Amino acid sequence: MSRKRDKGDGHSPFWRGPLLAWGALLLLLAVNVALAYLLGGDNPLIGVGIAVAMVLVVAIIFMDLRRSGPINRSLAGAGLVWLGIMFALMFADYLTRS
Amino acid sequence: MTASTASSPPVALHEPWEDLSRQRQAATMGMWIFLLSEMLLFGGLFAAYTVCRSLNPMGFRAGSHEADLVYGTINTVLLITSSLTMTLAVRAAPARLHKVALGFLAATVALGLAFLAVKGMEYHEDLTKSLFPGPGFKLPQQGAEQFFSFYWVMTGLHMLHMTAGVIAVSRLIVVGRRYPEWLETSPAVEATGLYWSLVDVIWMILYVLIYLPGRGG
Amino acid sequence: MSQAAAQAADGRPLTYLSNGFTLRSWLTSTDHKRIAILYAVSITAFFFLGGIAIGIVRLELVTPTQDLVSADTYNRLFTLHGIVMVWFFLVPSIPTTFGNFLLPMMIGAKDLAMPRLNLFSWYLYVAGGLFTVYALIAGGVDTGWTFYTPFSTMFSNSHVLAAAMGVFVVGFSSVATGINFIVTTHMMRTRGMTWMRLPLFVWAMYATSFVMVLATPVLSVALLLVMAERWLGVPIFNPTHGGDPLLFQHLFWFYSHPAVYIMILPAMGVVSEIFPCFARRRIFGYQFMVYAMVAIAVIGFFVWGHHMFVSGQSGYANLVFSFLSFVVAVPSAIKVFNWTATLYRGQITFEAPMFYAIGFVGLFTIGGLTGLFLATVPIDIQATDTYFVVAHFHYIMVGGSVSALFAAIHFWWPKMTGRMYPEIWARFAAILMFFGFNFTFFPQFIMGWMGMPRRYGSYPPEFQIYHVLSSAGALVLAAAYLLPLGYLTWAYFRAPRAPRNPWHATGLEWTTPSPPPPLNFDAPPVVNEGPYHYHPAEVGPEARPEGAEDEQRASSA
Repeated sequence: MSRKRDKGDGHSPFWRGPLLAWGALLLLLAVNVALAYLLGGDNPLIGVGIAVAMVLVVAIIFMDLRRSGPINRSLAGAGLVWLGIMFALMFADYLTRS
Repeated sequence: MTASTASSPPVALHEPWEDLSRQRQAATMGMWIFLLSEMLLFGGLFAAYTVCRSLNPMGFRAGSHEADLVYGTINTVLLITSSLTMTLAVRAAPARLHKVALGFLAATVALGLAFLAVKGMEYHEDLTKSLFPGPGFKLPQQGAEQFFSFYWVMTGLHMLHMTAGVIAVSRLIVVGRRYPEWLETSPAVEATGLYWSLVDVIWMILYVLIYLPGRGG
Repeated sequence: MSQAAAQAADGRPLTYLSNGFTLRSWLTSTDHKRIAILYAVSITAFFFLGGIAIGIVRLELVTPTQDLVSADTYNRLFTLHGIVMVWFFLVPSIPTTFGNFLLPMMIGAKDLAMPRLNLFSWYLYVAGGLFTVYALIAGGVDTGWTFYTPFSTMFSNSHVLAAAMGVFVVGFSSVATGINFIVTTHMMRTRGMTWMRLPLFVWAMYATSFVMVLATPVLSVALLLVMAERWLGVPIFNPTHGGDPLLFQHLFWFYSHPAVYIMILPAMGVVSEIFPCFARRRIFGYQFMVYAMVAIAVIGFFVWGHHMFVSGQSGYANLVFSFLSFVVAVPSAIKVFNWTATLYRGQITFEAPMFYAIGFVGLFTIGGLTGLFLATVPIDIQATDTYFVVAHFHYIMVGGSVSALFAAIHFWWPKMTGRMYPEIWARFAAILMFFGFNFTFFPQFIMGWMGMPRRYGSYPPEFQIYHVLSSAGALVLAAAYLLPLGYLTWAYFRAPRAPRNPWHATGLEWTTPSPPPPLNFDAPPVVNEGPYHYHPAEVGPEARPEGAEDEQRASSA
């Protein structure tokens, strides 16, 4: 957040990281579509797994979590943990219904 | 975050802050907490979707098969790219590259509007194919109508977020063009960037939930 | 602007109250103290609205037959009572008034981190309130405050959309307040105010804010889906299209159980301030009080399924939720024990806030223990949807939260208004409230245990005695709520002026004048000791210095 580090790492220009991330995201998207056709859409875990990888790329590079303080990182982590609680306990019901 | 009056130049530093870098830190943290609540907002929708899909797997597959992958993929690429331009604008602004930052912001707005336009075309096509739940709905399978219920609610809510994002970025351009120093120092730039990326992230998940289940066999 | 030199027209120092007298100066103020007053006025209005609704219900229940209002009107009345009391009174009550007013002062800040967001959150609250009032005027809602599907989506002919919209909007007000409090607590603590020196009220606000931020959006989604199904006709919860009405209950209770902690954690924060002050004791086990509050806030998210034991949820899920519900009782018990231990060997005096606070602990304990009954699956299956449940959660929410709210009103009244209040009247009102409350709700435990179901306007005659007792108690309770409205209004204009620190309490809010100046402190305070320093460690407490109060009052006049 300070001015210094927004100028980049000193030797690499400010656009380099984001541009690489953009390439990685397009690649992951292509892989995801290809896998959906190859494996059929029956297994949601593969698609969601790749989407989560894309989300992590955006969070770490675009949203700058890499260099954000521990508090912001914990906040992002807390979101995932709470989503985990919601899914886990909701499916504690749905997966055990007779 | 806005200028109080049009005549006086906007100040980035506001009461009760005495230090701009602390204020920026606070704005970023505030935005992250807001994003946390947004995660739970869409997370609740995703959970509801997952439950309904687990109850009607075939219906959801049939529904997804009708969703237009081309529009969806184009929109994903548009959004990923807009997230790139937004990030570059956020990085360029404090580096005193005003022209560059404004250019990237304009590109972001353009890409965002393109996304909304494509989404509008897709909605139009969906409606002509009678894919809105209700009497005369196209698909007979149990659960397909439900899939499209989630489709409309989730993409609709996402579209609202996109619209808010386009407005917020446009505001940065309008104020930033007149007052380059404001663009350089205001906490609003980074906060808006975070919001934009989150809207992008939400779409990435939506894309997988909506467009991919019905592919392949 | 130099605060110290600023003088209002009448020669008294400028305070947040004398900093502008027009309606506009209030409605556009970003001063956290003025926004607290705006909230206080609005939640009081909603409190009496919800109170009138339940007053008619209690009147109907005096006789076993449905004779005062129609069954349909009866449904709309208790629904209105629930919606208004939960979302427009209890959830915002302590955080938006005392949290807003005190949080910045307790940590030595000039204001909340985002003052304009704070004002905006009040406007959101008002907007949500207008939707609700519209729903009421248009004819009301009959779903119960829980909006259960499929009744709310497919069958109800009442104004579900407007009411759900009101709750949806007011949720964002909650989230905005939560964001503001969290950022403020992180970023605006004055020099020396470390995390482990924060007053417990600040910790309570911090924990509450996280619950607000994490839970409220899920309620928004649940209501959004209900609104979409009703308005657009999309069959999300419709079982004939493969939907599951229980899904709504999962989403709804993911918010609404933690919402109980949104209501009770601030109350715990309030009494944690009051007990040390009127016992002249350091709080017993400060760190455990902090951990207990955080634990309650977190574990509160794991227990929502105990509202669904008889809904058709799987038996395994019932077991899991039952166990987790027992777990959440542990930190609550730690807090009750620590409050009690704080009183041990203290120099206790019984001012009105202390009466309310002691009432809180007793009623909260009863409410909490009966909660354990209901967390036990076999007992819950017996007692579900009876008055036993009604009595249980009223002991927590009314006996707990509302008692603490009144404790807070009296404790910080001198700080907020610059006037004292009539102590005799206040003690009388406190005792009256305690009796009125038990008079109203204890009979409900008994008749609930005997099988009287909730939400019915007519009932078998053998329950009449309990209903009559309960209705009579409600009358006493109403008097106990109206009484402070009267004497506090009088006190605002006529009571003696309050010194800076009438209770000789610790805490930064007591170091500024009463009422505080617009920016709270003349210079940023510096903190160099922990909270509740009522006596040196290892030494017992001493009585409050006699006469010091008058001395201070004389010097401030």
